[in-house]
Amino acid sequence: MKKNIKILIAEDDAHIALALKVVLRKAVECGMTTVVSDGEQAQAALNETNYDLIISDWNMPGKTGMDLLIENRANKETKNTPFLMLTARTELSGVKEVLNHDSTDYISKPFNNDEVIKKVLKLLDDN
Amino acid sequence: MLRPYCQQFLPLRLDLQVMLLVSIILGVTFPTFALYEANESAERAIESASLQAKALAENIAVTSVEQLITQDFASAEQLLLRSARFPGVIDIQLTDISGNIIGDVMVDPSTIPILRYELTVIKPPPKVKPQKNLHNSFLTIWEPVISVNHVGWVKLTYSLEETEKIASEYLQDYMADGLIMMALLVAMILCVMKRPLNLLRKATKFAENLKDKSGAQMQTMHGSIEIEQLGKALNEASLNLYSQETAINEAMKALNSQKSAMDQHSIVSVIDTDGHITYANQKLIDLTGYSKNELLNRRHKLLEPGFQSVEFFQAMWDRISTGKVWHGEILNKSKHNNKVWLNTSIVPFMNEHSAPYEYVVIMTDISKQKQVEAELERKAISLKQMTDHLEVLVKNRTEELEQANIQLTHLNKIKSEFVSVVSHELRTPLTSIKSFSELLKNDIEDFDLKEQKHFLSIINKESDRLGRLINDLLDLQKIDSGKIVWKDKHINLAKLLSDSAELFFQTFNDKGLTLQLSLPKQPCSPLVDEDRIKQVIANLLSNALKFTERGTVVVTLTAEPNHHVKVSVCDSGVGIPANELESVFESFHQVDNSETRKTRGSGLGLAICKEIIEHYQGRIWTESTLGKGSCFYFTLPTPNNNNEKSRGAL
Repeated sequence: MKKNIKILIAEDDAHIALALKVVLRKAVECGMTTVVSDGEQAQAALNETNYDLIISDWNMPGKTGMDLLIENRANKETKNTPFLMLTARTELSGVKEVLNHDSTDYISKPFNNDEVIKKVLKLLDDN
Repeated sequence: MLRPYCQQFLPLRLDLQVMLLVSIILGVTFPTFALYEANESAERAIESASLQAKALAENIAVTSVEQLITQDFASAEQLLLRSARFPGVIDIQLTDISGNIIGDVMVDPSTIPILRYELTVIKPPPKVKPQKNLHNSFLTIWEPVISVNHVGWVKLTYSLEETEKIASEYLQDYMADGLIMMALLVAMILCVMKRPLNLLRKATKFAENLKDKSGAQMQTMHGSIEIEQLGKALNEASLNLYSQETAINEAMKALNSQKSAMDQHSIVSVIDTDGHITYANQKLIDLTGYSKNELLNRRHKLLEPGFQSVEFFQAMWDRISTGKVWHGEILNKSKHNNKVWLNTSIVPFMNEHSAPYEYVVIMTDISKQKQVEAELERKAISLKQMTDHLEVLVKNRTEELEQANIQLTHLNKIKSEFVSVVSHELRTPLTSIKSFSELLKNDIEDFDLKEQKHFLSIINKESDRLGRLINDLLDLQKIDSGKIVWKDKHINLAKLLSDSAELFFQTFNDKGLTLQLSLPKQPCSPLVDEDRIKQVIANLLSNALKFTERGTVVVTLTAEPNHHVKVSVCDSGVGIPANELESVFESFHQVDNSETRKTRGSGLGLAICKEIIEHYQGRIWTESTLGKGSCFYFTLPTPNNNNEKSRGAL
């Protein structure tokens, strides 16, 4: 597995962001983990750094996780960057085809830490 | 031109006409012929007499040559006396060449020749040749006496009376014959014509009585081909007449029946080309109330009330004047001014020049039908109005239903969103709790004590958040379903505000904010559930705290007119966009910006406040300037007699 993995976490709930950061720290040999609280900040971070993985909440103020995904899938630089969508939504019909893209996965809140690790590792391996 | 004259002046029986005609023809023909014949006979007699006289004169001339030459006058006179005995001789003169009379003999009325001596000389003809002069009743012949030379003249006067007598007799004979012939001819014609005439009279009499004969036939008439043909023609005519009469009678009978039937059914009149009524049946009389005499010779216009236009009637006259049938509806009026609608047909009757000479007007009373039509029309209009009204109602109702449907759809959407949001809001704290509790449970050794405490603190905070959320949800559900128990009592609102603020002073200070209270001196005691009003104040202060980073939050209590009090909580925070001033009171509605996300609440606080205030017939609203701050207001009714009574009644 690649070392010094750079991970971008976009989550407006600080406690969940922290939990993710802690969970990933244990599972992945991270070089850098950036936490931002909305889509605009995430896009700004993506414009500056090439991340190996993007973990984003769907429901964020301003630019949502889905906006971020669509925008980056259209971007030549980031179109293949693994993307893990976090969502507390129960209704996912109609958006699955977007999430079914290669290098893209989602996980429902509340999540198991192990499940997060498993999905993250799979996305990184696949990439 | 002659024929009418003849017809006028000769209206005679045919036999008399024939007789007259024959008489005229014979009366003209026979005398003419007789005269001609008489004249011819006279001329022949004169010619004969002339020849006789000339022969006598020649004889005298030959005989007297010697007496003249010898101057033997006595012999000459004897010769003349002898010659004068010849019948017809009037006188005889013998002269010399110069006209000197040698001898002169005349015949007296007793036909005895005598010598005459009165004359001595007579003038002889200029030329020496025989001369003949014809006078009315006598003939003069000059015969020269020639020996070797001309020696004298013989003048012989010869009477033609005998000749005229013969001619007259001849004429009389002819005339008599003519008359006899004429009489015979007329008698014959009359005899011949008698039978045909009798037959003609019989035929005439038969023809005269033909109309009473009922097809009777004449006996065959044998007289002539024409008479037989006439008889046959009359018999045929009789049969034809009878059959036509029968047909006419039947047609008349049928016509009368039809007329009678039509009179029973229809109102009938006949008008002339000037519009005058020439016939009116009983129904028209009954309908109009006019007597027959009042109607006849009056213009049909008498029956028109003037309801229909002049152009209408002009169009009608224009049509029927050209021989076309007109159909239409005319409003008539009776003598007593009752108005009757008549369905009318006007049928022109045409003369041999194809011009109308009268019009038969057939009418049917359709007043009842018109009334029914009018009633139907009124009902149709009424129905149309009702339909229109119903359509409007249906349209309005449809719009209401559409609106209701929109609202229901909106409510359904809100409900779905509510469930989704509740789910989301419940899952969010649960996610932190679950994740950190898993970390601590599975990998506690990986974390130092500080981290462990921090994680536990997070679990604790998120558990509290979850608990508040659940409580808020339960409160809202209880209020919505009416299951909440309102412990109403008169409270001191100023004290309640003061007590509530007391709980927040420290928190505000910790954030560097100032919390001010502005309370009136006079008491305000609304009848409310103290805990619920505290919940409202706490929510408003909590929001002010969350969304205000610096400055002051002011809580004010004022008395309002109409027995109300107003509480305001004004902050100097981020403010609310104008388009969200209403929706902030909806469940789970949160102003969508990064600041609000940081200070996330349950999203139910203001919805609960609204429910509580509106339960007490109060009003809650907000005024805000984005970036400068917001003021939240609510009013509550304060006690007065009327209010107490109304609440007591409830």
